Amino acid sequence: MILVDLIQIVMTTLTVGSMYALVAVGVSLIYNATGVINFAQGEFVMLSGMTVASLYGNMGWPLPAAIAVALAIVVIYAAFLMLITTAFAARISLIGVLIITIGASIATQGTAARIWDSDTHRFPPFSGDAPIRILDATITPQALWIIVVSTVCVAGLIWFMRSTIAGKAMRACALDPAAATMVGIPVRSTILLSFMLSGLLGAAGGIVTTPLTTIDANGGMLLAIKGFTAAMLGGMGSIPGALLGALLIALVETTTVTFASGAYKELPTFTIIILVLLFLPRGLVGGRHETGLHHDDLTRT
Amino acid sequence: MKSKRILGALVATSTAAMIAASAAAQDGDPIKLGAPLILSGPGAFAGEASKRTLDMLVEDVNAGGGIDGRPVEMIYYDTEGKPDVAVRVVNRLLKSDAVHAVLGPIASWEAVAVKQALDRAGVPTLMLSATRASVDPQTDCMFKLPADDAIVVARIYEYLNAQGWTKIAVISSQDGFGDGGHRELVRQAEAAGIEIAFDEQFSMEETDLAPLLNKVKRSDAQAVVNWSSSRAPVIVTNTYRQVGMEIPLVHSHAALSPAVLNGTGENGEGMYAAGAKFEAVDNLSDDDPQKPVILEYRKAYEAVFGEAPNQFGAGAYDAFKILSAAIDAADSLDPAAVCSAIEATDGYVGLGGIYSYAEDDHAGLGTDSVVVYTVSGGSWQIVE
Repeated sequence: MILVDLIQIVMTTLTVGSMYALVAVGVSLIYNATGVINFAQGEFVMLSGMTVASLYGNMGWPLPAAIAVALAIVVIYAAFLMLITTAFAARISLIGVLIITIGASIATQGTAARIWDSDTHRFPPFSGDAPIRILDATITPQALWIIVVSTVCVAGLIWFMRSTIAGKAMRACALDPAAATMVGIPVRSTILLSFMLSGLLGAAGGIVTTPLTTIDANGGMLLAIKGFTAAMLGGMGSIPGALLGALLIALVETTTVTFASGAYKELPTFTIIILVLLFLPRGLVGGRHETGLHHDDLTRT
Repeated sequence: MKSKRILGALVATSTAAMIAASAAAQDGDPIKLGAPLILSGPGAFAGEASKRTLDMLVEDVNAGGGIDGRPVEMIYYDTEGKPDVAVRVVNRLLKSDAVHAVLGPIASWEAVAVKQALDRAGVPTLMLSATRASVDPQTDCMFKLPADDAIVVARIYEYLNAQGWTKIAVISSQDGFGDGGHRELVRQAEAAGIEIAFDEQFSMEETDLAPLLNKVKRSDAQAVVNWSSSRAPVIVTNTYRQVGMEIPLVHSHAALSPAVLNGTGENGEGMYAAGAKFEAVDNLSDDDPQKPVILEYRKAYEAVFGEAPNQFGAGAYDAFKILSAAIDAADSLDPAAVCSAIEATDGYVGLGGIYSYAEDDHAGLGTDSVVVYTVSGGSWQIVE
């Protein structure tokens, strides 16, 4: 019996952790490039999920076409977000920009509720529902999709940041925008790219997880909070850190539900987060700043 | 001195004139009804259907000259599905808008929050929420429309006993709705001869219920009762099939919506739920008095809005009809008179059931208004 539990815990952790990871990595990516914490990250997931649910689930479009449209919509939305945040970032403090992203998130939710509706939506899983049995534990094929797609996306992103010129340019902008400009890196375009990549990550998440979790116009906010928490836990600005934080949170939640009760799911998770940040303010892996996010960083204009 | 006297007389006369004028203006004044509904957020499908239905009914009534010759004016506020916002808008309805009656709120957790304010104001209220707590403990002028958790649970236990599934697992959501259902399930179990072998709650945010359902699988329950609303029944049902559970799954009345059928698709075949007769009107026998009423409402709603109504719109419909009948019978808007008139409602054939209120019964419906459904061929069919 305990073996079945362990297998189930591993599968659920990987599945749920992948969901959180796509959001967390997106948050860290944008923070890395611009110093802005994007609370509208969850809306990338929501918008792509809702779009595919309408086009493929309701209107019968072929899946690839629906996915393409969803990705396009989210990328445009991400570019729009970037324009808003950078337009204001020059003039107000970081915490002000942060609040703007929260406002953008709320506005997006309301608009989505008007365009679609407030009901929950879903579309059928890609490979059907028939569960795969491992001993007595079952996993659904969609969970495998989630894990594979998330791994490919995050690995792809890490490769991109390390090995391509554009990726290195992004890291350069994060380190020192002025110096980056001096060596000819177009900082604005690079920041735009980071937002769009972040959007793609969230969009991919929405597309693969909606068959399992359903989506509704207000689902983004919760994901953004989980994603932000995971990124913070791992070290804000670090992509491997965000991944680690996401998996860790998913693990603690799943273990609690399996061995204790679902009612107390949040308790151990946030206790651990508080303890880690108390003793390791840079997060588990260490983020961009030497000593974590400070009051000065947030309020300096 | 003299000018002061004249001034005083002038003020007195004009005040008297104003009072006389306003008293005279009473007769044509609109009847103001307040409706705190969920118009945004995840529960908005419920509030939207209610608002559309009320708009439809008010237009009809006003076209026919109103109630007692007075036009009806609906004042809507969005509670966003949050209890604190609900309290705020209800206070506004009571104090700024001075409504004559309230129709709503919809969510169980909102109803519990606003109960005290409404009771203190003594304004006739027809609650559209399904929790027993709206009328238990009972107040002077608050009535409930939907079949509440107490009645639905009683019906479910009746059915379970008849099928021989007396050992059950209960999973419920950690919110006002889940709590209400859970309380009734536990309270009525012993008397109904039902043993609850597994009892756990889950959070509405939960996206992966596989760990919880695996635990249920390992218990020796013969059936599972799930008390949760909005997207939770979809996730529960899909995960249920995913982990390969074969024992019967019974949902609360919150699962009786087209959205749940859409979300579960094939996974929903064979699952049960209990609720009002509204969902499967075509199943009803022709001599069921509710059938023509339900069919007429569905037709009218679909004609205007192009889609099928849901049980929340139906609740709003019944509330408005009962209230307007009561105001008409009482021939006044005096709260005590309207309340007595509502209490006198007996055998009113509505969409949610046949309502009979009494001085000691503000819940209105009995277990005879609840039926058990199962999903067969992709739609809800009445089992019995």
